[in-house]
Amino acid sequence: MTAQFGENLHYDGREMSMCTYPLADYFALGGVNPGFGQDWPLDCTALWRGYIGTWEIRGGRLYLIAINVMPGSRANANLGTVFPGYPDRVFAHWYTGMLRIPQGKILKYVHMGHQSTFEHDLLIDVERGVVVSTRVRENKTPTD
Amino acid sequence: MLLTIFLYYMGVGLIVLVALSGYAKWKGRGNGPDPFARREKTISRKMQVANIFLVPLAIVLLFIPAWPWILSVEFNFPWHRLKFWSDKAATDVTLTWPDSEPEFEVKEANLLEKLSQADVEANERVEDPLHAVPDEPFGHLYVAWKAFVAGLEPGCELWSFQARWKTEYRDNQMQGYVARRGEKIGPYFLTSQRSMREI
Repeated sequence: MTAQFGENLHYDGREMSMCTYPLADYFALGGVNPGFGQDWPLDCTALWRGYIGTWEIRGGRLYLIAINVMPGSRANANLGTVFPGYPDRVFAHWYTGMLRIPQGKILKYVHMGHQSTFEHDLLIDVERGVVVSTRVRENKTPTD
Repeated sequence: MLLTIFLYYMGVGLIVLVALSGYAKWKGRGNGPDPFARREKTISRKMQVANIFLVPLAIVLLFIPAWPWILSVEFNFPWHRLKFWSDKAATDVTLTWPDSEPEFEVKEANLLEKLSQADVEANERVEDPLHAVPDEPFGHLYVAWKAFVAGLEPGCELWSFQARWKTEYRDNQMQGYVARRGEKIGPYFLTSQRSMREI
């Protein structure tokens, strides 16, 4: 698997790239998937999941504010079609887990998923869509 | 003569490349700001050079000789629907795990508390100051919950549960509600699945 595009995250006045896919949990818990990740052959091997979500942490809560799909994807969807009646903002109350945001220089590039190692990771713990803690993990260059 | 035909062929390929690029841009219009654009800023200079020069060059070099085939794939020409190609495509995309993964199931030992549907729905009401969630139990998952409840057998009980789903490929903590009738554990409704590494 090729290295994958991350999700976009607006946090603390900055735009970041996030290696976690909270929307995948929504689909796993019973939300209707409009066909994301079912395009074959893939137009872009760096986007197996078929979409890029844009997220925002505002007031200590995680929101999904946009969904972009690859042009030409069979899943012709956006935020308003995945969440009818909520075209601008969706509270990600279904998500419990850790958001990982790699930061700093890349220490080791791995051409697969999100397995590259960066100088540090910002880790945001979320409980039912609400941020409960944040911390920074310092990474070392992995040895083979 | 052959050289002339070859040059015509390559020339047509170049024209098709330009036309197809324009078509792709036109097809992608209205998708909002390019979510891929910001990534360009975060990648290394070597990768930027590759993206700006080498990738387009590779595309041009590959596209021009192979333009009839690429056109036929892009527009799904009729011969792609022929049985030979369908069978080949089906063979090519059969991706299976080396071993089948056992399905998640809730066991008696995982049950926590017996609850009424009204209790569950009261516990699972979601609120948001920005009103970015339906005022219903389970919020955006209310439709899934309604479908789950509609499929329950009459007379069954609802229990909350917490279980571990450990397989060769994952180790998750699963939480939710499950139907129980007598000794039989029935369908479940998940509210959370989280990697054990995060807990």
